[in-house]
Amino acid sequence: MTELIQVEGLSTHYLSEGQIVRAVDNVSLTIRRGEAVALVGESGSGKSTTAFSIMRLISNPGRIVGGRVLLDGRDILTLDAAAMARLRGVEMSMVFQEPMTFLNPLIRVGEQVAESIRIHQNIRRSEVRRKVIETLGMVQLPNPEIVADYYPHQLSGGMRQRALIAIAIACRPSLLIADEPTTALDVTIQAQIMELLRELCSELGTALLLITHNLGLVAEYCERVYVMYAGQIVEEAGIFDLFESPRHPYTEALLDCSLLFDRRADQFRTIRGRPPSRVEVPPGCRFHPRCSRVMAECSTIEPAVVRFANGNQVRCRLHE
Amino acid sequence: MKPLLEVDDLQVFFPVSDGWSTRDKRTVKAVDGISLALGEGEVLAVVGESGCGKTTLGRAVAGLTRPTGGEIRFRGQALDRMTGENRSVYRRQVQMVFQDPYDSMNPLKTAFQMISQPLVINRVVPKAELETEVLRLFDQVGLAPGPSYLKRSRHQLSGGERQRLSIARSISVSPSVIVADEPVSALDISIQGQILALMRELQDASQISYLFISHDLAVVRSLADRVMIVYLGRVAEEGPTEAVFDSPRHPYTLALLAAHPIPDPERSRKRRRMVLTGDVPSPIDPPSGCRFHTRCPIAEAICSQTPPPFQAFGDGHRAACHFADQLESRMQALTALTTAVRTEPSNGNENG
Repeated sequence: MTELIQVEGLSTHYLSEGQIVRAVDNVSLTIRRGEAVALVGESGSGKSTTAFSIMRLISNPGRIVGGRVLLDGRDILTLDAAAMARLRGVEMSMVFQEPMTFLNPLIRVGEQVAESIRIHQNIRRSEVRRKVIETLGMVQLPNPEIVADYYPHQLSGGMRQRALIAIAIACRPSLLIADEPTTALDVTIQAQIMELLRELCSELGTALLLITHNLGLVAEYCERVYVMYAGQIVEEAGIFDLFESPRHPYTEALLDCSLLFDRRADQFRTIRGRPPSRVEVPPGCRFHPRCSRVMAECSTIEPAVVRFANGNQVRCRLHE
Repeated sequence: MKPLLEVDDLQVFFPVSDGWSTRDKRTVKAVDGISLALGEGEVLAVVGESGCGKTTLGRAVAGLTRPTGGEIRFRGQALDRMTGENRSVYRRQVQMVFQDPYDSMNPLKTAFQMISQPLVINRVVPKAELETEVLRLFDQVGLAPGPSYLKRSRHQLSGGERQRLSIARSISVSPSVIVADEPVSALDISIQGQILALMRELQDASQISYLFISHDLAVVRSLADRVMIVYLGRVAEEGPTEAVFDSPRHPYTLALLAAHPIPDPERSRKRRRMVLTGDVPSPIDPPSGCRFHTRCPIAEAICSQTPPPFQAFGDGHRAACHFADQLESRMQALTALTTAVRTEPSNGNENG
């Protein structure tokens, strides 16, 4: 598989009350063509900021302060706004957690899908309508001819997410970033949307970057995982490796905390303490105050990234 | 065992009309005939998707929403006939913990004020001992060191700390029932366990009963003694947790279990797939017969005509499905059928 996206040393900072928040700090990741990759982390870990940075949707008071984002080998961080706008939708698209926030309540659903087709493709009017209906059908909305003339408020939560996905895939992008696409949905609807994303991506050959805190979805739908903690990638692994033998103590602890519905937990596992504040990141390894296997030097020396032969990597002194 | 709290054929309807126009006479049937019994020291989980009525049920039990019909009894006494002293005893005995404690806290009050107010109103301790009691409660819910929390207001607390505080507030008056409405779903996974452990610890220590409202099957599995699966205002299935999870008798329970993600790639990729079609219908005009029939993979003609009675499977396990006793064989037949229809050769030699 060839590399579609290579993020190298990406750093995105926010200015908050006069202090710098290093939301994304020197993050590198790779997405190959057609691959389903997960970016996992808890709230505040920087996973959404990473996604928004890749799409270059960071606005004040945030700023991408360093690194490169290569799309097919070309650094898109150096593109001007117009060139970037031409890429979005065509090469890379994004769907979000709360579809209602990203759909325009005053414009019919079909028109919102048409917009992205019209901007990026030079085709006749009648042809646009046909493409809109086709796209709405692809996301399995019932009666696409009728739904196209609905306003967003006439759709249920699951249908809105389908509409948002339709807008995102209308121009058949090479990369689809899905930021917690099912968090606001019920579990039976979540299953529908995840199945849809999987089918669409394999049909269109689209790569998927799934941003989520839900390890269950990762286990079922992704091939490779990046785990984020306090703005950094702490582990990268193939899906089976990660769940079978997690290398970073944080990943291990997260998996320990996950409850299974087919057995009763006699003890609720937790991670002591709480995620670091965004302005005061602990020195050394950022996870050390909560780590169960902390060593003396963890509080002073920042661990280096250790790479393994199979491509997995971990940021922890246990493996140095 | 005599149940502590009984709910009998409860109905809670809300008018669709916004109050301006009286033309719309329709009602949202949020809870439409739910019965339950909660024993002393028992954890009963109410599970369902949004709009199924689980929150309304909890609010009605906590006395925050007036029922349209049916009866709620506490220690044998009907809630709607309680007056004066009895009513305030009920209010003290049945407490509620909400999903997002941020919204249920007064932004202008300190943690000390939030916890001391119920103590003062209910004359739990003399004024002179207020601070000692508040600190004891902080200690009990794991807010340590206690004195550092006294003066904090809600924005100075993390999500987990807020939920601890709201639990402290609810146990301050020594209730016998806590209605917990999705108490951990707004929390990060590393914090969830802390709150669940605390809830279990409190229960072990003081025999509180929980009516635990949740959509998270994994949490329910580990905390609840009994489970009630609710769909569109009605009970689909209920029973001991083990029985409902290990041998579900309602296709909706089966669908919930099949849709719930498993954080284990080996098992999640091997299990039976069962993705329901469509959305949950509107509770304004719920489907006839069995309310699940519009999405049920094994529905037949009778399902759209006759509401299914409960079929019992022993030990309080019962399911409202016409085919509850043949669920497994019908599901297998369905799987065999869909496998045969599929054209992928990899699926061709599965054992039917």
